[in-house]
Amino acid sequence: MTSRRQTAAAPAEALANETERVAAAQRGDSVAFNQLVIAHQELAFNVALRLVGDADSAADVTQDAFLSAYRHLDQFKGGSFRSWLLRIVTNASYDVLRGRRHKTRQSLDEMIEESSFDVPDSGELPETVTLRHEFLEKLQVGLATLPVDQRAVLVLYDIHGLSYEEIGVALETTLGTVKSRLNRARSRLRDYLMQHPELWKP
Amino acid sequence: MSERTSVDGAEHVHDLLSEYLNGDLPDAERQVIQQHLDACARCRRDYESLRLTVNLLRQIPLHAVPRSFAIAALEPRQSWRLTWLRLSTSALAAVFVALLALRLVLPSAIQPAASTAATGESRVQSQAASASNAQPAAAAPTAAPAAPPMQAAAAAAAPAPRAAQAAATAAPAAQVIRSAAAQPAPGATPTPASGAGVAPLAAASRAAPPGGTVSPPAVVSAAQQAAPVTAPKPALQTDAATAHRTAVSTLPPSTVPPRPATTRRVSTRLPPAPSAPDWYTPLLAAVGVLLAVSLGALVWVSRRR
Repeated sequence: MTSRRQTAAAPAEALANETERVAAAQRGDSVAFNQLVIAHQELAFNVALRLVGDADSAADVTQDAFLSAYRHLDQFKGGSFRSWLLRIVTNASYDVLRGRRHKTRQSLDEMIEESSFDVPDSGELPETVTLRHEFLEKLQVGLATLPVDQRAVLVLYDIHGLSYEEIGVALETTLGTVKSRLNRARSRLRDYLMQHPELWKP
Repeated sequence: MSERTSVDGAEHVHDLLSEYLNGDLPDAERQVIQQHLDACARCRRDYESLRLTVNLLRQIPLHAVPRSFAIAALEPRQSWRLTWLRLSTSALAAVFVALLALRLVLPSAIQPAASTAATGESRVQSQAASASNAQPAAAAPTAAPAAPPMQAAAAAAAPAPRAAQAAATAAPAAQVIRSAAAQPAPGATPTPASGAGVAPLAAASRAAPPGGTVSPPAVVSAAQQAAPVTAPKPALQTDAATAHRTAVSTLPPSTVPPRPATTRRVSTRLPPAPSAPDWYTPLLAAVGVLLAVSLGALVWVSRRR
């Protein structure tokens, strides 16, 4: 499994590179913007995936988010581009979830069937893959039981390794709120996992 | 803080376990919690389950991106501009290269064209001369002011298309050359203007001997009369031509029956002019300048994007 923690500490030169790209994109350089897309699309898509639960919706959210980011690039006033982008992604995800609330039968069962965890072909034993597949599906269901603002913090911090500050920008809230949401989200997910002891040994 | 995290305040420790887990508590608080965890089994269990939960989350693999989310065909506003710039630049480049090729690769194609242009001009002038030697010389000055400018322009432009047609062996460039060649002709060009004073003289003297009806002094006077008028204004050269054309048409056909035909034949047999055609250099320069401007604009627009 790849460690996503490495995305947290971006080298200074990569940041400078990104600042240049953002500046170029703001001048209308679509090539530079697409370089930003390529650099961030995996993160954006996976955040959306953990928030909305299925890959198709997450892909739609991601595409919409990048389009929106491009159109509103002039509103980016510096700071972490990643955070700014993730704000758009989380808001777009919230929109999808809000729309879904009306259609109640886009349910958890359906989300499980749609299987947001495609296990990459890693040459592992089939049983192992199946086990992990099931584990991840159930974990996703557990994530779906969290209130969306708590889930967002959990996804950004524990799954993607963003800092409190970045999350604060992305979710437009204070560091204190980020910490307390993270605390509550973890406790809540822990409680869910306690009810599903089979998940503890993936 | 230390009161909150004292042994009896297990609930408060619970609140701080998440931050403790993240390792971002100050040393003092961390030590207090550490001591509490050592002492309190319940909090230790809490902490352990939290740690496992976070570990599980960290093990979630990244899902492969189903497709690239790069944005294609951005900014229709600028893209049509860019498309037009690209089209015009390549068209201009093609014309430019065709012109150069014409000069360098096919000098033979350009030389006949040059001679045609030259003879076309001299034909008009010789016609003028032939008319003036039949009719009294006074006919030219009176008719000249009456000549409409449009007609004059057309007359001046007339040789140019022919030259272009002859020169334009390269098919794609033909249309551009023709239209471009027609342009410089009316404004006509310092070269013909300055030579205009001399050309009628030569043409007249050349046309005169076969005619033979008028004495040499008369021919000279006709040419001299034409020359001063023509010299200051380039357009007058053609004014004279149209004037003489009208003069010819007013002539009784019996007076000079075969004359126009013979002069025309003679004039086409004139030796080709030694210099490059008049339209070539200005046209090449014009296309070159346009090409440079277009290229510059293209670079500027694509750099802005």
